[in-house]
Amino acid sequence: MSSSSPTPEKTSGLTSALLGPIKLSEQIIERVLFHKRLPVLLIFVLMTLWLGFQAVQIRPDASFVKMIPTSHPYVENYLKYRDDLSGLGNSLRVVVEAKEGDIFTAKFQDTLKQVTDEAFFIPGVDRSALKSIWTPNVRWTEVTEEGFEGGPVISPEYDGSAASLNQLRTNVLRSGQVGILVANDFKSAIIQMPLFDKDPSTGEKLNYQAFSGKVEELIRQKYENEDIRIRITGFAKIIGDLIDGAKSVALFFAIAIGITLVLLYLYSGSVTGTLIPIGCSLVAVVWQMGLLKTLGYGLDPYSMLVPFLVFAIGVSHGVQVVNTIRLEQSEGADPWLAARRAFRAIYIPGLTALLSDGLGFVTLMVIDIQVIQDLAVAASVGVAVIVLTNLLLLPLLMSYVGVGDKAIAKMHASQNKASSRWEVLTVFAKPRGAAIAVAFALLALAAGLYGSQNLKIGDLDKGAPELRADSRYNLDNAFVTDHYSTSSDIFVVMATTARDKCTSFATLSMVDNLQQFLTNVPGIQNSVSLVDVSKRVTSGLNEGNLKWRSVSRNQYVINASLAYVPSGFMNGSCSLLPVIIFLDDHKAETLERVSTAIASFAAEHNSEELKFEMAAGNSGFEAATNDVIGTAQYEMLAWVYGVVSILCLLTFRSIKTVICIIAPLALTSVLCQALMAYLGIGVKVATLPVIALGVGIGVDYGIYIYSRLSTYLLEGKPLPEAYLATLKTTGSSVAFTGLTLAIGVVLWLFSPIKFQADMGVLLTFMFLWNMLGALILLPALACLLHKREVVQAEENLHV
Amino acid sequence: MNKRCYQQVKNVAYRGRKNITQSVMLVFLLIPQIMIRNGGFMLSFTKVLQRARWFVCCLLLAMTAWVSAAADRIDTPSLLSSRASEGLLLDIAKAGDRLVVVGDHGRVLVSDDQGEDWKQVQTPVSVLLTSVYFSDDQHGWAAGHDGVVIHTADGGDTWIKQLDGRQLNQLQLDTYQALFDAGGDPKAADLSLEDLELFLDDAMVAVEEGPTQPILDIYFVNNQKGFVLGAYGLLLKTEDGGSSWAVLSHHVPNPDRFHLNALLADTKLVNQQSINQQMTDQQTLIIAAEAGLLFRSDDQGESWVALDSPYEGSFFGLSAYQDQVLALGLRGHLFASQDQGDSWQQVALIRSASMSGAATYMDEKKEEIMLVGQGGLVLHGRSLDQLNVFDAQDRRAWSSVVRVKDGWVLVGEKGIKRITDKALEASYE
Repeated sequence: MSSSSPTPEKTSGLTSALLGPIKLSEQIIERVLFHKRLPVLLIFVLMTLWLGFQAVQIRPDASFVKMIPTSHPYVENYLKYRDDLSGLGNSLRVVVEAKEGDIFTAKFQDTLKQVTDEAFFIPGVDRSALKSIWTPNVRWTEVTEEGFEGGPVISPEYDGSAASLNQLRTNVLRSGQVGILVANDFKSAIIQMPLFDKDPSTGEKLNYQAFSGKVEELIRQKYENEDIRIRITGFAKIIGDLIDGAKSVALFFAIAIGITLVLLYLYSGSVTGTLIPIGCSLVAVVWQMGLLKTLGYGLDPYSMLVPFLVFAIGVSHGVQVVNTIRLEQSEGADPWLAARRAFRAIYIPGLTALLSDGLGFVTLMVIDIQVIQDLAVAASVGVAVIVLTNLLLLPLLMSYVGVGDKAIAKMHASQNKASSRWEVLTVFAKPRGAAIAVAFALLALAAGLYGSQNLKIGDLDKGAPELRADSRYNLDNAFVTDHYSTSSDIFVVMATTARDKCTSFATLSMVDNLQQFLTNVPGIQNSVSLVDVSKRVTSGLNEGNLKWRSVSRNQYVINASLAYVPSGFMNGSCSLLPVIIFLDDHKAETLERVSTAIASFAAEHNSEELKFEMAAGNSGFEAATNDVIGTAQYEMLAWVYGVVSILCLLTFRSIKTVICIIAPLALTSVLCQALMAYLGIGVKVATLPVIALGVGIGVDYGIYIYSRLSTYLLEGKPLPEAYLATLKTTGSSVAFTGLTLAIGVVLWLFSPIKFQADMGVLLTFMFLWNMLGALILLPALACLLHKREVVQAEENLHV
Repeated sequence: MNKRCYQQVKNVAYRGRKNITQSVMLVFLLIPQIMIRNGGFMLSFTKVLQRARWFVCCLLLAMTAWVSAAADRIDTPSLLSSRASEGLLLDIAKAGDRLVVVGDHGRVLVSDDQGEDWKQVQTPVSVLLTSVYFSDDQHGWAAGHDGVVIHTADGGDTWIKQLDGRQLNQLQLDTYQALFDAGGDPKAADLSLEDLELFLDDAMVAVEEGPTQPILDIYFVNNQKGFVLGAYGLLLKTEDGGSSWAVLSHHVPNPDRFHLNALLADTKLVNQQSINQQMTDQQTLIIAAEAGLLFRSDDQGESWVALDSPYEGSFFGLSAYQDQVLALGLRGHLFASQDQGDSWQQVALIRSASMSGAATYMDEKKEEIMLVGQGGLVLHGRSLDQLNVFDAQDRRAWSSVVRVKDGWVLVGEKGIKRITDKALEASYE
C-alpha cells in the first residue's frame, strides 16, 4: 500500500478537457517557480508591499442605495423622485430624557436649549428645518374671536421661573407637539435634525460615520449625566453604528488567527508548517483588500465577512500543501524536492476546488442587490488571490525551510497509530452501514423539508433589524416608539401629477380615497399626506370646527389651507405628493399585504392626471428587497447547484459521482433552511449569500475525498479499504479544513451587528455539516450506487 | 344682464353635458348598426365600419374608464371599513333604542347595545357627513358636505340620497331666478331687489364652482317637516320628508352670509317623548351661527329675527337644560337664556375650550348635562354653575354626545367613546 501523495498520473482519471490547459500551465509554472525562486519571491514581496499600502487605505463604506435592489420598480421610482423626497425620513432624532420628574424644570430646559444649539452647529444638519421646542419654527396657535393667535412655544419672556414654566406647559399643550416633539408622558423632548444628503454649499456627500461620531461626541458624551439621558435614532445613526460595529470585527479576526495558529501547530507539529500557511493566508487577505481598494471598492458590513473566508480558505489549502510536503519529507525528500512534488500533486485538485469556490461565489451576481454583488466580487477576488499565495508562494517558501524533524517523526507515528481511529467510519462504506446512513439522511431531509416550510422572507425583529435587539440603538428606538406617537416602519406611496396640479381638488380627493381605502388594510396604523394638512387647516380657518375637516371643493379654500405646508408633504414644483403610511411592523407578510393592496388601488385609479407609485420609506425598500430576494433565492440555488454539478460532471464524468458529491450538500442546504426557520432568521440580504458560500466551499470536501477515493478504487481496492486509505490521507485534512473554516466564522456570533451574527451561525453550521456529509454520507452513497462495481472490484480482488 | 344670459347658457350646458355625452355615445353605437343593416349598397364601407366598431368599443371603454376614474365623492358609495369607528365622526343620534353615528367618507355606524358594538352600514355617498337626526325610530336624515342629504326609513339600515350639491345649486338658481323675475319675495318683504340679485349672483357663482356647499346641521320636526342649514347662510325647508326642498336662506337676516351652525326647537318641548302635530306648529326655532349671530323663528322657519347676541365669537351648538336655552361658543363661552333668546347670561366655566355639543338627561331622581368640545373637553354636572371636568386622559376633540341607559356616548376626532356613569363617579372621587 502506497501512502505517498497522488502524482499527476494518478489523478489523471479525473482530468478532462477542461483541465487540459491547467495541466499545461502546471508544468510551466512549476518550472519557473522552482528554478527562479528568488526573482519570483521578489515579485511577491513587491506586490505585497504595494497592495498592503493600498489595503491600509481601504475605508468602511455603507451606502444606503447599495443595500436595496436598485432595478426594482419601487426603488427606481424612489430614485426618480429622490431629490424631492429628501428630508423625508433622513433625519436624526435626539431625545433628551429627564431621568427624574418631567421636562418642565429650569434645569432640563436649559439642557434642552444647549443641546438644540449644539445640534444646530453640527455640519450636515439642515439648520432651517431643525426643530425642537426651543427653535422659533415650533409655534402654538389658537383660534380666538379675532382669528388665529400664536407664538413660539418658548415665549420671549421665558426666564426659567415657575410662572414661565407654567406658560411653557400651556404652550406645549396648544402647540400640538405632544407625541411629536414632546413625549406623551412629558418626561422627554425631541430635537429633530433633518440632514442634507449632500452639502448644499460644497456638494460633498454626507459622511455618515463622521457625522454619527460627531453627534456622539458633541451631544451624547457631553450632555448625558446623572439627571439626563440622551437617546439618538435615525438612519444616519444606524449607519454609524453599523460601521462602528463592523470595525470591532477586527478583534474577531485576531482571535481567529490565534486559534488557527494553535490548532495548526497541534495538527502539524511544525513551527514553519504553522507559520508559513498562516502567513501566506494573511498575505492573501492583504492582497484581496488591496485589490478591492484598487478596483474602487470599500468595505461594507457585508463584505467584511470576506477577509475571514479568504483567510480560512487559504489556511485550509495551505494545510493540504504542508501535509503533502510533510509526507514527502517523511519519505526522505529534501525540502526543495518535497515542495516541488507537493506543488505538482496539489496544484490541479487545488485549482479545481478553488475554481468551484469562485464559481459558487460568482453565482451571487444574479441577485440584483449591490452589496451582494460586491460580496461576490470580493470573494471571487479573494479566491483568485489564494491561488497565487497558497498554491504558489506557499510551496516556494516551504522549499527553503521544509518542515522540522519533529513534524516528520510525528507523521511517522500518526501513520502507524491513527489508522484505528478512522476504522470506525469504514462501517459507512459497507452496505449495511451505508443503508443506515442513507436512511438517516433521508429522515433528516424529511425533517429539514418540514422545518424549512416555516422559513420567512425578510426581517422579523422590531426596530433596526441590522442591529441586535438589545443594542443601544434599538433600545433608543423602542423608547421613541413607546413614548411618542410615531411608528418607525414607514412606507411611502408617491402620488405624481402634472406640474402645479398636486393641490387640485381631484388630486386631493383621490389621495383621500386612497387613505380611506388603506384604513381597511390590516397592518397599517395610519397614514398622513397633504390631504390631512389641508383638512386640518380648513377646519382651523373655520375656528377649529370639526365639521369643516374635509377637503374643500373650492380651489381658493384649498389654496388658503395650503398656504403654509410643512416640509415633506409636497415637492417644489407641486407635482409630487407623498402619502406616508405607518405600519405595525416590517414583517414580510405585512409588507406584502400593504403593497398588494396599494397596487390594486393604483391599478384601478391611476390615470393620466394622477399616478400612485410605490415606494419609499424604510418599509418600502424592505418590500422591494423582499420581493427581489423571494425570487432570487431559488434562482441563486439553481445557479449554484447547476454550476457545481456541471463542474463535478466535467471532472468525474459520472452522474452517480455527481449525486454522491451533491446530495450531502443539498441535505445541508435544506437543514440550514430548517435551522434558519427554527432560529427565526429570515431570508434577507445578509443570509441569502450563506447557502451559495456554503455550497461553493463545501463542494471542495467532496471533490478532494472522491478524487482520492476513486484513485484507490482504480488501484483495485475494495470500497471499505479504499475509503479507509482516503480517510487517513485526505480525510484528516478535510476534517481539519472544516474545523478551520468553522473557527473563521463562528466568532461572528459575537458581532454587535445582528446580520453578521446570523451569517456566522449559519456558515458555521454549513461548514461543519458539509464536512460530516463528505466524510460519512458520500461513501455511503458511493457504496449503494456503485454496488455492482464494488462487488466487481471485490471479485477481481479475489480472483 | 349680458353676464346673466351667459351664465344661464353655461348652466344649461352644464346640465346638458351628461346628456350630450350620452347622445354622442349613442350615435357612435348606432351608426355602425344602421350601416350594417343597410349594408348592401356600401359593402366596402361596412367593412371599414366593422373594423371601426373595434375602435368604437375601445373608445367607449376608455370613456367608461374616464367616468369611473373621475367618480366623485358625491356619487361614490361609502367604503365599508373595518376601522370605521376609529375615524372622524361628527354626530350621534338616537333612533329608538338604536344609536346612529355619522362622519368622514359617508360613514354611518349603528349600535343596538347602547354603543358597545358598532356596525357600519353603507350609504350612497363618500362625503363628510356632519349631522344626523331621527324624527322617530325609523325615519332619519343625515347631511354633510357637498350639499348632501341622505335618508333612511328603516332605522338606519339602508340609505338613499335625497339631495346633493348639484341639485342644491340648481334649486338655488331656479328659486332666485324666479323670485328675481317676479320682482321680489312676498314672504320676505324686507328683502330689496338688490339683495335678491346678490343671492341670484351667488347662486350662479355656486353653479360655476360646483357642489361645494357644506350642510352643517339637520333637524326634523316630524316625519315630513324638516330643515337643513349650513355654510354661507344656507337654510332649506322640506314639507314632504325631504323629497323636495324650499330655499329659505334669504329669510334669515344674515346679510354677510355667515355660516349657520346649529338649530334647536323650543326648550319646553324637546324633552317630551311625543310631540303632537298641534304643538309642533307652535314650536319656536333658534339658530346659532358664526360671529355670535343668533336667530329665532316663531312660524316654523318662514321668517326669522336676529336676537341680541351677548358675544361676538361663533356659536357651534345649542342645547336646552332646565328650561333654559344654551348657546355653546368659542373658547369656553357658554350662554343661557330663560326667555327663548331675548336675553342671555354667561355661564362661568373652568375650561376655556370651544364647545360643540351637549346632551341632557332627566328622570325622577336626577337631571344631568354633559358638554363636549375641543381639546378633549368633557364637562358634566347637575347644575350649570357646578360643572366638573372629566379628564379622559386624551386631548382629542369631541363633536357630539348623547345620553344612553348607563352613561354617555361621545363622538369626535378619533371615533367613539363611551363614558359610563360609574366611570364618571369614579373620576370625581
